[in-house]
Amino acid sequence: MRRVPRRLRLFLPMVAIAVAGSTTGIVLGGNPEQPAPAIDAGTLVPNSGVGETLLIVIGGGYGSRAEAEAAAAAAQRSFGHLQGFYIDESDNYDVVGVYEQTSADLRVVPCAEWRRETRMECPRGLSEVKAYQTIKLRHIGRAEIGPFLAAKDAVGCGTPGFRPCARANLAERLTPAFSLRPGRFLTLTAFRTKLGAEEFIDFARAAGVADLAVLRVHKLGGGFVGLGQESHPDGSGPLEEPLADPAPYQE
Amino acid sequence: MRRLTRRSIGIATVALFVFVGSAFAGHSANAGWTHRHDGYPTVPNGIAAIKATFGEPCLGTDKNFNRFQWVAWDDGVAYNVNFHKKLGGKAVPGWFVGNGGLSTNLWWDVVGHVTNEHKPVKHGIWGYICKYIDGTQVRSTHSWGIAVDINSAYEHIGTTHKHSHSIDPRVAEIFQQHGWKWGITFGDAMHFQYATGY
Repeated sequence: MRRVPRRLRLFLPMVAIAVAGSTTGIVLGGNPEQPAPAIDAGTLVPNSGVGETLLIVIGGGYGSRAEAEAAAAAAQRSFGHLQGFYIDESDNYDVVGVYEQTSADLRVVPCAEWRRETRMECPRGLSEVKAYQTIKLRHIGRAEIGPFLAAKDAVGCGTPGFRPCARANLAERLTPAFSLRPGRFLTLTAFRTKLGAEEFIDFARAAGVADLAVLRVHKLGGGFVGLGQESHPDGSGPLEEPLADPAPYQE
Repeated sequence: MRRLTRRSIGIATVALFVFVGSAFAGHSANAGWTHRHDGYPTVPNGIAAIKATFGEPCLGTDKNFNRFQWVAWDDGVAYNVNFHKKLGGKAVPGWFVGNGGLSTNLWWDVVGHVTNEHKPVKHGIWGYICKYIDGTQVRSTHSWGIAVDINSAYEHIGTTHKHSHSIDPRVAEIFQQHGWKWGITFGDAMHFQYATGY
């Protein structure tokens, strides 16, 4: 009987382990009730957020990294010298919730009222100003995503004085099972608190970057996607470490 | 004769103040605004001085920040501008939201001069945002609420050029007269910051 070469003897068990691991991963990935896989802390990128529950603000999803890089670069021209989106693969995220904006986008204020309130002039030739409102998000847990997406957007959404239409934008990024569409390259940035995401959306809106989707996710892998760019809830400075109990700051 | 001369000088001085005051009030009569120039902090130079003056970056808007809305003259949108309370918030007539403060620098004086002199500021305006400088992990001065970007929709292409595409020279002059450094010196024409050496 011919001996199996030594290289092959080492290779075959590795293939078997990889196949078993992949199969397990696929099975577990399809079931949201299963815990996230264990993370090897020794390989983590600092502040990557791997293993944490985060909010991600998604600018878009693309079929290739090159397309995503081009989209991020285009958005970056609007953000100026301030960091905008990062790029990561959709497979690195398990969706555990979504967010909708509950605040109206803007308030229309007649110039007479504006002058009285602010003691500042209205632009010449205008009879009213459109005052942006502070962004407020509402968390929708995984069990409620289906009913939420099935409902209709409120009448008037997306027009001045009303909140944005949220459902189509979210539905476009999710599978029927409410996972992110697999194999996509996302332009995104991540936060540990809802307030951080709200402040970023306000900034992005001012920069003219729209059609954002906000999701709550478990981060399974991947690199740095912007953590550390939000304030700590205790008001001491930037939030650069995971919160012991993030849920109250995310829901 | 000498007493009369002193009195005449006194009257002339008062008249001059009244005249100058009226002239300043003239361009802002409609809105009831006049500048105050109270309580400006020393412009910090370098990161240590920034922290000594304004504290840590990314303090959040709850306790240390004020907010006003600045109307862009090209789209009529009033943009939210959060900023450090040490740059404005003294109890002057007018409208802002936040935590008070002793200065009248940004909110009231800079914005008042620009707006009530009818100098156009264009869309894409923001102040505080906890952010790194693009491609780095260095915190922008926006993270302290001591920077303002204006006209960003027009200036983003010019970030590598040391010239402006759209900023009204008088607007830049007003910022600079109130202690702000213009980012045009480092290729960011939309950007003004109340700090140097950073």
